[in-house]
Amino acid sequence: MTLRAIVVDDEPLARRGISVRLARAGDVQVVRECTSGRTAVRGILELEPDLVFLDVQMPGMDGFAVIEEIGAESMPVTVFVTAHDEHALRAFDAQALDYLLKPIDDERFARALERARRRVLERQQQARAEHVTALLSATGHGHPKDPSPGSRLVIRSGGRVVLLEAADIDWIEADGDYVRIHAGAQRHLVRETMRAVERRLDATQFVRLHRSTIVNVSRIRELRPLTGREWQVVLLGGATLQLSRRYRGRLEATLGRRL
Amino acid sequence: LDALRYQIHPHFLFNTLNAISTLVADDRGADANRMLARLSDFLRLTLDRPVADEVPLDAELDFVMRYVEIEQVRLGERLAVKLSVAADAGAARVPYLLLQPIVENAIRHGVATREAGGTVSIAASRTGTTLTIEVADDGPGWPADGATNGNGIGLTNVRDRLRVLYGDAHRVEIKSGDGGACVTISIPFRSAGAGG
Repeated sequence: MTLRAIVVDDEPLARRGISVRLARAGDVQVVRECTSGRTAVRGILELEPDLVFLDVQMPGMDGFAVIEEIGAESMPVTVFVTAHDEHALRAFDAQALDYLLKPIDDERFARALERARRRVLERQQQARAEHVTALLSATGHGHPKDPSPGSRLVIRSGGRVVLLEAADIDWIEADGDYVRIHAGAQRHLVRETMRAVERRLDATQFVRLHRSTIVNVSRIRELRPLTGREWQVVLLGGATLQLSRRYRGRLEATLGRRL
Repeated sequence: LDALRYQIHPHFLFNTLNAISTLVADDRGADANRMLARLSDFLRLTLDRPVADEVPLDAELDFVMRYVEIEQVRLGERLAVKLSVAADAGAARVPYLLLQPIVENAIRHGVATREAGGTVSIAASRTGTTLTIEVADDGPGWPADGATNGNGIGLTNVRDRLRVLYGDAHRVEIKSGDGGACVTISIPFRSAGAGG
């Protein structure tokens, strides 16, 4: 893995000192050298480097102001470089990974770079994990520990892959080996089981009414009693569904009252 | 007078050492050696006890230019220095290390604080029995709290030393504004050859 780095210092030889040592490391590419805080902010936003070596004392905008401008949580892995010991504490407050004192000690530099490599790797793994979690939750195959299924359903409908907002779904009905999703004027026929779809939806929002029906609770307009302890469920759009005895308890739990 | 000696700024010293460290890391041994020699000159003159309270202006300027040379290596093309000394002024006797803190102030506040850099102009001339030395920069002027934040220490020392050496026979004038800062010092003209 090659790290992409930006070096920031108003003194040319100070920048060169970092760049020369990075070149020697072999796995770091200096994508830009910046001569001021202002140009550093631009460089970081433009190039999104993995790593930044940031001088503290610079004309105009100093190193701390750069972090404030970008926001500590959006900063690349940051190593402060300073002639002053007294900046060390503030550097860590600003969530710097490390700080180097001038003149730079090669061994100390190597250690800081090694920490930076590990931190960049951790961040990448973390970002990947978050990405996967987001994907899984969007497709409903949530992590067991994930308490909230996705707000979106990714479905294959008519040869396309559709990202459907759960909130847009009115109701869902079983149709043989398929389920039909009703979302406003749209109908999506998806090769899935009712159970699989149900698992992918937020249980506080979607309730099973029948072996063959799931409803978005927010779409229910009224409930009309039928004979034999069954109920008719009328939706805002006018659709009329049937609530079977078997699933009445679940709807009551969701609505918070007995029918 | 000993207590009023020039004080080295740690920032200058550590950044200079860092610059030398880079030259070594960059396999520029000759440049590193040159910079070490300049820094050593500078340290010798500032750390050693002075032989006399006064030196010829030419010697003082020579010393200042060694310092400037170090700063130019550090700051690169951001720092330009203009020197203009009247022919009859060079032999004048001036307090040892008088100009150093003033030029350093000009570089620190007038040049180093600006991304684009700037120019420091040093001029000296003789008018009758008075020697006038002027150090000017084209920066943003001094910060309002310049006298209290440590940057003024150098100048306070300059004033105190001039008072000890010349009593009322001297003037220090400071002008600071958008166009830059200018320090003008007037002291009695005494030639180095003329003795006491």
